Amino acid sequence: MNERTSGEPLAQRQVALIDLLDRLLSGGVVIAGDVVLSVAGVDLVRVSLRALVASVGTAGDPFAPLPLDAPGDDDGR
Amino acid sequence: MTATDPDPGPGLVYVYAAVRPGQGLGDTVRVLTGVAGAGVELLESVAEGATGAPAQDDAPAVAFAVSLVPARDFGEEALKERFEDLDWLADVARAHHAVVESLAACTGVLPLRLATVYRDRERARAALTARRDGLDARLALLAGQAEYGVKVYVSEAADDSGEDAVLRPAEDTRQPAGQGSGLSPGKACLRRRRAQHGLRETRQRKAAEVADRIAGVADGFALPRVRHPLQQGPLVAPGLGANVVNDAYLVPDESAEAFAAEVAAVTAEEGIRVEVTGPWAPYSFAMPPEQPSAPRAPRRTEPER
Repeated sequence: MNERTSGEPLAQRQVALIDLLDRLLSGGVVIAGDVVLSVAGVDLVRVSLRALVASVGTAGDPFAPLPLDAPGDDDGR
Repeated sequence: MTATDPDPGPGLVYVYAAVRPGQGLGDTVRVLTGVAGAGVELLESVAEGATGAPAQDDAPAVAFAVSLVPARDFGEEALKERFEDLDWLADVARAHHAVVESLAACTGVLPLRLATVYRDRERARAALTARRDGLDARLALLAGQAEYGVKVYVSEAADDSGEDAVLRPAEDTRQPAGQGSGLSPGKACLRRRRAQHGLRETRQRKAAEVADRIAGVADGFALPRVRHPLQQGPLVAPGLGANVVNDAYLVPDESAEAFAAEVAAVTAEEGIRVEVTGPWAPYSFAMPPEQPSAPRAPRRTEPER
């Protein structure tokens, strides 16, 4: 467990898998890839993993949305 | 559109993160090991209309950190199956995270969602180039900050008698009437259940107060927050109790110690645990989900509560 206890350096703790999956499966920049659009992009994965992890959702953007998706290039072609 | 060929070639390009290229980053990347034991490299964007040429000097400085991975493991069909395999998923997640952490130690990093894969370097480079400005803006927005997780757990264990009532009510009712307190077994059981229920309610109320105080601490630092779904299921370590808060805050580096100290000072309530994790690369603050170009199944979102 990655519990923070007093005086323990943050970097030396093992990251809990569930905390990691919270971030890797519902956080991170979502850009359509060539191969995984229908898999990691992400509904299918989320559905299939939910029974296992039960904690995978999509976090809202805390900032105003940025124009990351170039027009006409958001489908991975 | 997705690739339908189950074997799109000998290798695919797995993207970990968008990064600020900088001095020394190349050396850092060269020694990293990523998913599937693969080496890691940097992909730079291309200048407009000049495929293969290096980026223009005035273009935003953004690169992808990538690995070449086997199509048999990261092709579409393979990924569908592998994502059901928790051991495989854990290995990939930890390898992905290790690369992101190493990058974050020396430059600005914008992690990508797990398993973003392209057919080849050119496809990945084109995707980077098309989104360069947005990635650049988000890297700038996140510079000098790190993500910290704050979780609150409420203990589900009670004192011995309460636990007894919860764990063995059926057994209790089989005992002779009048034992101990003079109450019938049913009434004694009911009384213990009420006490247990009261204890649970008290703790839930205290936990809500703790959550409010933590939110107050974060407000004091004016920190952006993302709420993750509450953690439950087989991956939760046993004995932690019920997870009632699972938040991520984006904390300026200079405030990190003070924030962690103030959150730690909130946690004196019996039966309630507060856990701070981090620093993390800003996974939870990287991006809203990509908007689909065509209607799809609705996505579940976590509203601010």
